[in-house]
Amino acid sequence: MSGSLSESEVKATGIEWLTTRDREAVAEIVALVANSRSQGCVYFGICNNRLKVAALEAELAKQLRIHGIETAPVVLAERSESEGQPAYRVLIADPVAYFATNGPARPTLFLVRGLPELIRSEITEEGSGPAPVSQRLNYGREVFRHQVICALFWIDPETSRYLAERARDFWSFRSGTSQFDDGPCEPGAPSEVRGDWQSEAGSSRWHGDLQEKLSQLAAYRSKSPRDESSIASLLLEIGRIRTEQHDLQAALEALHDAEETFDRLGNRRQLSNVKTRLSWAYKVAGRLDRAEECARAAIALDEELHDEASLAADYSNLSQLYYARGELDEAERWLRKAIALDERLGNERALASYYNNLSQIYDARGELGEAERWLRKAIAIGEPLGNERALAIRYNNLSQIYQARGELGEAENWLRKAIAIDERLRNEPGLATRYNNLSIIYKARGELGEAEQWLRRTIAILERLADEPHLAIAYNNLSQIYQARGDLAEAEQWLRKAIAIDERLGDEPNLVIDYNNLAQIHKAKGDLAEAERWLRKALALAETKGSADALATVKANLESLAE
Amino acid sequence: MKASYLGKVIEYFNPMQSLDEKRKQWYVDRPDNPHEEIKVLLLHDPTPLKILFSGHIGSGKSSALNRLTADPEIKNGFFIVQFSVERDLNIFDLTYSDLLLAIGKRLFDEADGRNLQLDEKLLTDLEKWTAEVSVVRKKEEGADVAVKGKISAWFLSAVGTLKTGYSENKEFRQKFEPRVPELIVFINRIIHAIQTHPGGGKKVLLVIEDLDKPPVDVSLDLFLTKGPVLVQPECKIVFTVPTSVLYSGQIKVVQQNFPMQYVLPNFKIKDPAGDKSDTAWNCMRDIVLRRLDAPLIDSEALDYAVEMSGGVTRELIRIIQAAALRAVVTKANAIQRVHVDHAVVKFRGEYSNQLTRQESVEILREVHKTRQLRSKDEKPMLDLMHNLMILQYPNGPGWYEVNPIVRQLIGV
Repeated sequence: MSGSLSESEVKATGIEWLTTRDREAVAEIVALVANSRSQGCVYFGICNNRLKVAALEAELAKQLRIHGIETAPVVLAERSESEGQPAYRVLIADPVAYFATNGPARPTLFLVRGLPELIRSEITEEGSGPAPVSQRLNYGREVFRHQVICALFWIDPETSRYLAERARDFWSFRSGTSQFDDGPCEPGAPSEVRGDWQSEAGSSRWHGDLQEKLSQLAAYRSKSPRDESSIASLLLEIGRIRTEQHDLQAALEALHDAEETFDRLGNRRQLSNVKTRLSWAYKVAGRLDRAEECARAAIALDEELHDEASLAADYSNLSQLYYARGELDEAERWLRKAIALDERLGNERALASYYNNLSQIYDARGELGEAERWLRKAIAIGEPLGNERALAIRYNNLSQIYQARGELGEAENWLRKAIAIDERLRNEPGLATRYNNLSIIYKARGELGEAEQWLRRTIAILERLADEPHLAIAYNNLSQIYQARGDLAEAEQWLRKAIAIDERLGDEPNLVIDYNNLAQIHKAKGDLAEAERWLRKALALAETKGSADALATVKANLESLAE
Repeated sequence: MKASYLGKVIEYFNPMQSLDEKRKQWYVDRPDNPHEEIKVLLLHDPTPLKILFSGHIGSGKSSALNRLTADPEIKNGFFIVQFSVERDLNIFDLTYSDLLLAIGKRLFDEADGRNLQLDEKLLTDLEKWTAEVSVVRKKEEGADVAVKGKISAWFLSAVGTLKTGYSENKEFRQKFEPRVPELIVFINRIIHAIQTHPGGGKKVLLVIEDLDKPPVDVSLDLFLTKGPVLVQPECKIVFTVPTSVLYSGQIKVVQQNFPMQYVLPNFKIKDPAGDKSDTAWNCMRDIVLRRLDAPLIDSEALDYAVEMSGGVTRELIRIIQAAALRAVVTKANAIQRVHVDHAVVKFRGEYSNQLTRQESVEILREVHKTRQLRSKDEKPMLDLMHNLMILQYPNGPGWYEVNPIVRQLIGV
């Protein structure tokens, strides 16, 4: 459709921290606080990444403002380094006393940071007994009810365990907890979770061995003479587990300790392992510079040791760092080195991921033939290995390639294979994307009835998931189906629903598309003045917030209007 | 007072909210509530009975004790002294001598506060004794203070020292602990004075709350090691205690000093064989339906919430609130099964975070298999009870079961 933009053209700018699940959790917290004004509430958010916490707090503040509720930050304690050791600065030792005297005059959600740091600080000082703050909260929990305090405590999984054991009565007051993934989400076209991290370090909720490793570490440290090699090996394992738990500060501490010991002992193999783990931890933390430094150090060590299996993983890791930066040539160069090694070693599981990732690099360049070739190799090698969720993504990616070429029959075939898997796995977010993509295929064929039917399925899921950002896109797409039918009133109605969401979310790149599309509806109605007004709104935004494609489209539409 | 829309459901199902006079229409009695039995025992047992009262977190212990002390017959029959250890003592460092001191203080203050004239001899002896057992800080002493004021000030200063001064309380305890037997004599003389007061003395009933909150080792020390001392006050006392005390391997020793033990039971929504028990099940449904309009929750969703609560009241409240939140977010008009599913998955995630040791998984599997509480190592087992991963269905033919939300995590 001339002048209109569809989902495939929507590109996110900058880092998008909040996933659909995050937004749902935010919506739940907002609903809780909005309905707890007369008696207060206690809620826990589990997240280690400060940037993510900041993004969540900003979203909460935005959503709560609509309900006339303010947010107020409270920091109990902060962590810093002192001579290489963790040090804590306690700002509020007794949160109960703080809340007893700081009951807000207006409805407020207190965003409480630093409880894990306060507990650790007190444990360090007090020895083996419970941290005083845990007892204060346990005995003083009624303050939240009496003072009508709504509080969201940011904690980590370790602190949730601590509170459940040491401050049981306070913990039992909670309305709930939300666990947030620490990394940013990567919106846009669906792509596979990339690379060897997935196979090498599968995330598990079962971290039963951490406690065991910590106990072993304490035992080894108490022995004399100290077995430094074993201690460092334990620290390496602890660092690995803590990275999986996204307890990144503690992970980095453990890994750097291990690094120092192996370096001193001259154990090059273990030093390489530590560097690889450090690279991973820094990547998760968003520190790509440090991640690259560690990945290159691991490569140097493994080359020195002639350890080819480890080298392949190292090369792939470095490739991912370049891909994350958008440096596709370098990403390809390192990935091909990994592929060459693993093809010689016959490591099929890793190869399936590497082929898919290489396909993504070609896809990003628009080289669809090569993208298809590598994706088919990934599928061929991956199908017997049985990772269905990964397969569904690869089928979907292949469908996208066919769709981009206009081969809609093939695109549909592969998409339906992906849908069959996701329906079996009940992967609702995945299904919402697949149904939407199927709708786009039907629309491209002009089968608007089918297109609408699949899009309405998408909308039903997204509404159930309260996934507003994607709902705005889906509403926009439905509007275009109505527009294609010439039902301009319905088209405008759905588009205005999309605009309402995007304006509320402040999603300016999408608003460029919305405004442009609304202008097209007015143009089709013959209301050229209104069409121009919306195009100029779109242009004003596009000049600073839109993609180059969107800006070009809006300009072209304005010119066409003038003609 | 019933919720007529989902926002109100979120408000009315707040896990922090206990039942008070305003909300008494929400109260649903449980079939095997020990209230009446405790009441009869207190009213008719002639001895200075000591009762240990326990229950899972969120089972409604505080509400039950409030109900007991508000009972007209109990109020009429007893001089009731009810207090929380948190108010008087240092919760980080609680010992039996501190507890006895708090008992002495509360009894003395209550007698004074209700204008009971204690006899002169008792006051003189107490004054002499408190002067001997000096407190490190002496700010409250003054030359012109009357005898009663001096004693009261001494108690205040003593508990104040215990509550706040870490180094000072050590010094004070060293001086004070050898004289605990003398304190007990004075406590008993105060009790006797209250009970035989010419103005119509009543039997003394002490209800001591929040003794279930200290760490397990502190509770065990109090009721196991120091049990023989704690039973010496010659009046009836109800102690709240953590379930770990009643279910520790040392229970026989505890029973020697505290033979009367009551547990506020969870609702036995199923029998040991896993079959539904209609009476308790309907009570749990009633808890929900007294707080919201029935159309706001699908009947199947309600049944599933009841099942997943394991019969623990606050867990049921929490599940319904979380399901209501989900319903609001997904723009539903009523709570459906899918919303309860979502809440359960979320709470399962919380338990999953806590269940980090294989040893715990093995204990849970054994409990599920045998319905019994048996483990070589007591502490992890008791921790699992505290965390509500193991639920206890006491009184009568009691048994144990793994929290229904947790079962999937251990593969049963």
